[in-house]
Amino acid sequence: MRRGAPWAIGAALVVVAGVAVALTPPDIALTQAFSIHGGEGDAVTGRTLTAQVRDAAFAERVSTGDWEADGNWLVVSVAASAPQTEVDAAVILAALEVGDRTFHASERVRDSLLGTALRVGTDTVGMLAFELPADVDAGDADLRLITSYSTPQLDDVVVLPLSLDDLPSEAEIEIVAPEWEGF
Amino acid sequence: MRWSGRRASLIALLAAVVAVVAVHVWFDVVPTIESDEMTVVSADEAVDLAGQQLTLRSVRADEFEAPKGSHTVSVRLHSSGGAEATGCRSLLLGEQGDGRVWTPGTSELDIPSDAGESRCQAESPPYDILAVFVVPDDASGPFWFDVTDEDGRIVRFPVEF
Repeated sequence: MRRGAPWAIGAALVVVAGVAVALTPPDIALTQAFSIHGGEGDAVTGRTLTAQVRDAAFAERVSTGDWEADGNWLVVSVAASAPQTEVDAAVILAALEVGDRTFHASERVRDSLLGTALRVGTDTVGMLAFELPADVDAGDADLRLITSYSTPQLDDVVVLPLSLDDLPSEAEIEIVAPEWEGF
Repeated sequence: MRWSGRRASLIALLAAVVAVVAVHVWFDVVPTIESDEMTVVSADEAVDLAGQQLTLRSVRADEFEAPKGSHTVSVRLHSSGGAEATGCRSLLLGEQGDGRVWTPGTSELDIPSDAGESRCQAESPPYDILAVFVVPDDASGPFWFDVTDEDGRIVRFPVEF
């Protein structure tokens, strides 16, 4: 064997090892959720949830009867139902991802869609309100809807794309309690 | 090691294995078996559950107003009540074909308060239970109606109309 051969073989093995490390999924990939994406305005169905964005708007104030709060609010109207079973069917967590930042739907807002029992075969239309920093007013966002109290492992997460560009801006939006569609 | 010492070690090992298996069976296997206990009864048969006797009285479709594209299925049970009667964990309507499952939508519907109880009653005189489900029009049955008691025992009534 020529004198340079061991060095070449060693270097090749280091390169192969580097490629293997680069291609190996991270440990979290073993348990992470399956994101089910749809087009903007599409109804998207995961294992425990079917959801569709119906409307979205920015507001300087949201109110729910005897409560109100000022801020940079994004209010999203969503139609949701359960594909298979009504047992424990509800949107428990709603997160808005804008770039590398994630915002959870406000739990201060009574009568939002959060926690509302969902029906099989009947859409429930309700609102989600996100209190955002003032600089979040444009760009592409993803609305992630989760039906458990924590990010699921090896289960579906419905992801609804939402463009924040050109959304209407209103002085005040009153949060309306979720209702069955067509009732 | 002498033979008697080996035998003692072996017996101790076997005892440990038996203890581990027994603990697993007692705490993990037995509860599962008990919670899966299901009794399928005919529509006109009385059955004992949750310390009371339950009888399926009637099943009606379209009794109450429902959202467009859906209809109601009303299930009425009669309970004997009694001093030993306890509550129930759930009342569910299941579709035999697709396996879709509905929970009672009683609070959202315009149902008279004296139409019947919405769940099993504990330590009660005889009473009626009314469970109303909102199902889409493409769900035409046949269905199962399941009553589950606090211990996980299930009574299943076939529902057709």
